[in-house]
Amino acid sequence: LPRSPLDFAYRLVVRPAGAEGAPVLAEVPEPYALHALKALRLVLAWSGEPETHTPLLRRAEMDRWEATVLELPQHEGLWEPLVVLAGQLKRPARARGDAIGKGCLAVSDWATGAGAIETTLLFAEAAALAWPENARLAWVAGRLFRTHGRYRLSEYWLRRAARVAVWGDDFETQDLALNSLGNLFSQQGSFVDALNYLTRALAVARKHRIKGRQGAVTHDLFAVAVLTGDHSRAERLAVGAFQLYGSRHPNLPKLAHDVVQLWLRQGRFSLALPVLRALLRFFDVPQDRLRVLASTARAAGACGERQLYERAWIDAWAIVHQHTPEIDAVMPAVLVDLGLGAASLSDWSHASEAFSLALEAAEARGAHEEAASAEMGLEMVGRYERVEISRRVPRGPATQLAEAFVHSLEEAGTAAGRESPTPPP
Amino acid sequence: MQSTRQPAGQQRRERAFLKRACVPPEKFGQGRCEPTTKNALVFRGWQHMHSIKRWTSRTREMSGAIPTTRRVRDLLIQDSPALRGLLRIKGGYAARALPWDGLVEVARAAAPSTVLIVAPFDDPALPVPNPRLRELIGASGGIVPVLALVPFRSACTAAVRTLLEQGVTDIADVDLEAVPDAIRPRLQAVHAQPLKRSVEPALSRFASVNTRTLVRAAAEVAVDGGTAVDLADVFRSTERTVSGWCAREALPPPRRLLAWLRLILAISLLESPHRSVAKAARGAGYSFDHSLRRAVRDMLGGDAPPRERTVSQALDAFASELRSLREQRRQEKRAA
Repeated sequence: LPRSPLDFAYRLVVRPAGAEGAPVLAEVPEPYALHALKALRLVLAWSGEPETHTPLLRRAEMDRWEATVLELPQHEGLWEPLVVLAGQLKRPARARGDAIGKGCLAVSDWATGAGAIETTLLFAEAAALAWPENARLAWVAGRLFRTHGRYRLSEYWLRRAARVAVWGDDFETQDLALNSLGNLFSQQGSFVDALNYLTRALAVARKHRIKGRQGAVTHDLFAVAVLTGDHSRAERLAVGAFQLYGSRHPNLPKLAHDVVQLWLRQGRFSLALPVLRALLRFFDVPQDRLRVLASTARAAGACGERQLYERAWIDAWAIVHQHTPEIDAVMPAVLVDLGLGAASLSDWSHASEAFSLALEAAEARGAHEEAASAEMGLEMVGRYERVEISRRVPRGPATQLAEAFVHSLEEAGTAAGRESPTPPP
Repeated sequence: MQSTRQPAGQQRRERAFLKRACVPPEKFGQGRCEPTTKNALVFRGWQHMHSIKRWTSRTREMSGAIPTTRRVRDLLIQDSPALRGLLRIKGGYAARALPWDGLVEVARAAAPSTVLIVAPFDDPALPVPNPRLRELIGASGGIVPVLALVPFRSACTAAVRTLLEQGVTDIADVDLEAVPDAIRPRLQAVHAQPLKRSVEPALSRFASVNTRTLVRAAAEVAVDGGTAVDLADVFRSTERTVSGWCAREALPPPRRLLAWLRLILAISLLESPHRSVAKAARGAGYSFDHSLRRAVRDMLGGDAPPRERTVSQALDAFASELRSLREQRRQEKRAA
């Protein structure tokens, strides 16, 4: 590894506070808990001595441990990687970093499915430490930490991934790590740093001609431009990302959805509505589908398309009542959109219901922006005042982009054999 | 008034001498550099310097095998057949076996670098911890780590969880790790754990991983009574480099950082009524008790004696210094 004593000291040279791997005991079921903890600790001890691979363990005891693990009842997804780890670690001098890394990643994968967050993170770290030359594993650890809101550790692992990738000439992972760092800072509202990393990621992707990555980074730059209020730049970046992705890229629906959100913010509902119609068939996950439905209801309301609004409202309301944690997370924004759509069509009872629920959900989750929007909506409903009116959009790059989105999405939907969207009323 | 400027001739002579002094020893006697008396003196100086360098690098090579500082750490091991193998441990550790009573007695005044090792399950088939364990944890005052060696069998999981909840610092596998070579990583892991645990909450939640790593390393060194050079040795680096890292991470310079951790450690030790101020001062690496009194006065302010200070006061003062340094660093960045 590159010489950088401080950047590579975490966990192995200087250990964090707390009993090493103790959360595993609380999360992994019986009879696996202590064996998983033992495997984790042995991996960390093995990784801590890259030259000698001590600790010097008693051979007979290690053989006995492997036999015990083999005799455990077979728990799908957990038993197999533990057997691999026990087999590798019983002869530390002959163990291979890549096999240990893959074994740890498999345990991490199982833990993700079982909702064992700490175990997921600990084994992801162990995988990256056991196979330190593999930048992709460090990037995976960084992404996992980001997903679970551990931003400082995420930053550490992503920086390490970028560094190791440079050292190993793995340009794609270098680009991924820089891109993820940009998104991490953007998520924390540090837009200067976010732009800095995303620009670097774009430069790396251009230099090494990784076209797919260029599109993805431009897409993320677009999101940052929207958040910083630089809408003209955002529009240019959206066009750029669309061109780089091409009409068949799997990320195209996501880009279209993000661009639609910008248009909704700008009050350009007539541009957004056809794209939203084309988008519906691409989102099957309930919380994502709910967001598209709510946006559709809002845009349809503002454009005076009552029939489409009603259909979107009914579909959205069916998902709202499911109450999973993922759906609850998007609830405030979704309810505000539904309320706005209803208020635009003077459907005051629905609007009032949606805004009241949105205010409740936003206050419970500390979503201040949505709470303010819901309060404002309720005030306007109280005055029977129409909230949103569609702006007239002159022909330009935005209209061309909307048309291109609709065309590409319909083509991609037909090619993939997806259901056609709701027919226009 | 006499001028401080040297005459030109003397300056020239001195510069020539310095130039000669920069010639490496193997080049002596070659070319224009003749072995004059002065050269011979310089040569001897070079030889001396190189021997110091060689000695230092050898010590560093060994530092992978021995703990950070050259100080020997005590291991107080419960007198049990399962743990007897650990008494053979060497290389930076001095082990001795004691019965439960002796262990509890010694733990009251033990140095923070000591590790208490116990096998709490008298009957491995029946995972019920010995009732004296709670007493031992209480006697350690939460500042001396307690390592419990337990069988890693499915039947013991609940009991192991309970041990950790009761205040055992860490656990290890009695079947696998009750031998000197195998226990070493676990001993490194529990070293300075209590101090690390008390200092971590004082760090901002925005503190980077590198900041935390530096503070944790400083805690490890402070518990051993080490210096800034020992802190640099943890990273196999130099004091100057570590000083640069501290500045970059908005931390106080290494010596100041160590002084803070020594102070927090001393006040933590004083929370046990069995330790005198002099003992706590020595345990935290101060030469005399008045050095501790002075440090308390300088760093925490006020005239109250060390015994009347609390760990939370020390942690607040430390956190406040870190905050001001962070603010200063932010302003410097903005100005740049």
